[in-house]
Amino acid sequence: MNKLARVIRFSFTSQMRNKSFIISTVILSIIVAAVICIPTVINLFNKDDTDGVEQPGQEPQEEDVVVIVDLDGILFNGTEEISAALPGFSWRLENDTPENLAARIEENEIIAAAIVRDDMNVDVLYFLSLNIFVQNPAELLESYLQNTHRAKMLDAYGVSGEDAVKFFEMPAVSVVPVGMQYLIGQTQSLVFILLLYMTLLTCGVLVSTSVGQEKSSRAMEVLITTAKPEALIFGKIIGVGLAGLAQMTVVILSGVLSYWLNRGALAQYNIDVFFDIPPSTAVFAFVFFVLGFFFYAMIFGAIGSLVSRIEDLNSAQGPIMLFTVAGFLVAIYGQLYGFADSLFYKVCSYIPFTSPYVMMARISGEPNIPAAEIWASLAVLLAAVLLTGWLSAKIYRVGVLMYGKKPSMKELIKATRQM
Amino acid sequence: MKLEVRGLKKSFGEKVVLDGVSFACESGVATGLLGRNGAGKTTAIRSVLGIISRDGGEVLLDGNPLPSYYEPIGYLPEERGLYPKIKVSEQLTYFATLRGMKPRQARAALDKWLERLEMTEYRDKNFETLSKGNQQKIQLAAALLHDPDIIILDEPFSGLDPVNALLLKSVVLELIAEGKLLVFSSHQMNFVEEFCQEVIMIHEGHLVLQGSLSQIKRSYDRDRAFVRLRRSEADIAADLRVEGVLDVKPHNGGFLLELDKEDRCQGILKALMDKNHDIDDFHLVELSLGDIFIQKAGVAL
Repeated sequence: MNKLARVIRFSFTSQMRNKSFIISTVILSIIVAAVICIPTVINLFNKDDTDGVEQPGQEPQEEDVVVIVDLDGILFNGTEEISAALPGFSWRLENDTPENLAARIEENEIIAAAIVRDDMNVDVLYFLSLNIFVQNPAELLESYLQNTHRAKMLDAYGVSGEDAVKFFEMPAVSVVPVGMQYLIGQTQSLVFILLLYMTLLTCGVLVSTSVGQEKSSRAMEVLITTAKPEALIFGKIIGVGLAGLAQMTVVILSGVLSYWLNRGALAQYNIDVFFDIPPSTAVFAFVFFVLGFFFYAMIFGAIGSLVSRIEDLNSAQGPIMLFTVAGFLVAIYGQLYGFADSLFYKVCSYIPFTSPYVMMARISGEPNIPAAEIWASLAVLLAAVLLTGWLSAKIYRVGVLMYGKKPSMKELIKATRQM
Repeated sequence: MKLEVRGLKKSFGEKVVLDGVSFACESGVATGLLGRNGAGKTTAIRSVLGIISRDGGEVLLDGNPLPSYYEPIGYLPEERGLYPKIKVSEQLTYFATLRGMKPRQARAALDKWLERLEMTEYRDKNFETLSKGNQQKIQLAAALLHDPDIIILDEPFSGLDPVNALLLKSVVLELIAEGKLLVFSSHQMNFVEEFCQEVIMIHEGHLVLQGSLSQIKRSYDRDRAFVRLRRSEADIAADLRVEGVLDVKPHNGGFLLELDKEDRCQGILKALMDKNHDIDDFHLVELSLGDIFIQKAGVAL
């Protein structure tokens, strides 16, 4: 136990002092903080824009021109009303043919034209802009014409102004979202899945690299005479895992801090509800996280002990990386594309390679998940952790002194039996 | 303390590396483990330490099986290397604490050994920044820091310059004087000859030679003498053929005399002196450990 503690301590401190580890932690924290700051930055720019327009004495920009062809003044009369209906545009009455007007729009001389044929038929030509921030003049003209027609008709039927208002009054409807649990749970589980995925990838690689370095630097031969292989590999996994968790904590703290700093700008997105996690869910999340981490870390550690050179590590990690990514994708797609209630998803919540992701997603996403299912999945995962732990220690014991070519599965089984 | 190895067997696949090797080493005596490259020296050491499993045989310490992860053992592996990106002081204390030392004791021992090995200035340097010879000294420190009773050094002299080899030699002599049980493997006969009282030679998985070095040497023929005269021209050779000399061959600026039987040197020296030759050098030619090694192990040489 004493030796385990020493291996943990040494692995942890040497990981924490590793320069590339420190640099990656800083970079990750900056990226997270930057993403959270985006709404504030956008607000900042928007504010600048409006400030610019409101400043007195500034020359108005050249406005787009709308041409109206209504020689008899059937629909367009009253200068003020037309100007009010076309904010940001200037307009003039002209007499021109539709063909000419279309040509002028194409040449960017004017932006739109309304040609009144009679009181019930108006043609509108306009330049379609794909910029969503530009007001569509055709829509403005359409609503102006609707209002004018309505006013004319009310007038014709002798409805007074006061009565007219009543026609258009609507009952007050206050909309309160109540049934949002599923979406919130889903988002929480997405965040959890992402967090687990990132931890597994970074810490898993850290564990196998660390073991691989011990082997390739030949420090292993002395180590192996000093302590039991279990103490060496578990100490390494726990030590490096703690360092990885410390990294995660720093990144999350950076996120929380920048959230707090930007809470004004973020208030509109109403994301507070996502932090409202039920305690039982939080506990399960933690347990699945830790067990999932150990399950994968054991395998990563054993893989690290099999390579002779650190350059071979990437290819050796390939298969387990695939499992890590597959578990992540199954969990994510199940949530996003709605097969979270399928049998496949349920089965995945028991397989140790996917269960840390999928079961967690189910716990936060499915309000009525039977407790028995959670405990069963947890038991399977725990058993798998113990099994991989035992197996990894064996493989590690044999692998660390096998130099040269990567041992085949057959050789490995034979060697583990001999130990 | 007595470390006893009985009937050690180890095969890798079809290849038999050790085929029933037995030997014993005692405290206060340096034992040299000799053999050609690939003779099985490192395999023998690894099997004794339990780094690799034994196919047969046992290792006893004072009559009892050597416990696994026995703490008072210092081991310098043949494959050199420690953690490249970690400070010398950190990894040395780590290894010492894994060998059962308290951190405070380990730090004190660290200072002592760094000073003894003239490595104090590298205390806070990363291991990878050190030269190869210095890295080796640090590894030696890692093997000795926890004041072990049993010290096993696999090829300790390879890669050391003459000054460092001398330093290591003095350290080894100190350890022997302190009564440590010391085993080291080597194929460099001159070092073994200089301070190993006992030698064990392995060849193709078998023990071919074992015993005290002086006895082994004495067991070989002592029937040659070397003589160098002030005037050592070739024509004088015939003059050296006194009674008891079978043959005279020029050798190293002098002559090698083959004697008809052992222990005739006195008479021959006297006969040569009677002939009034100016004798610069006259000595009995003993086989060096290197010669014995080549005889026993160097079939192809």
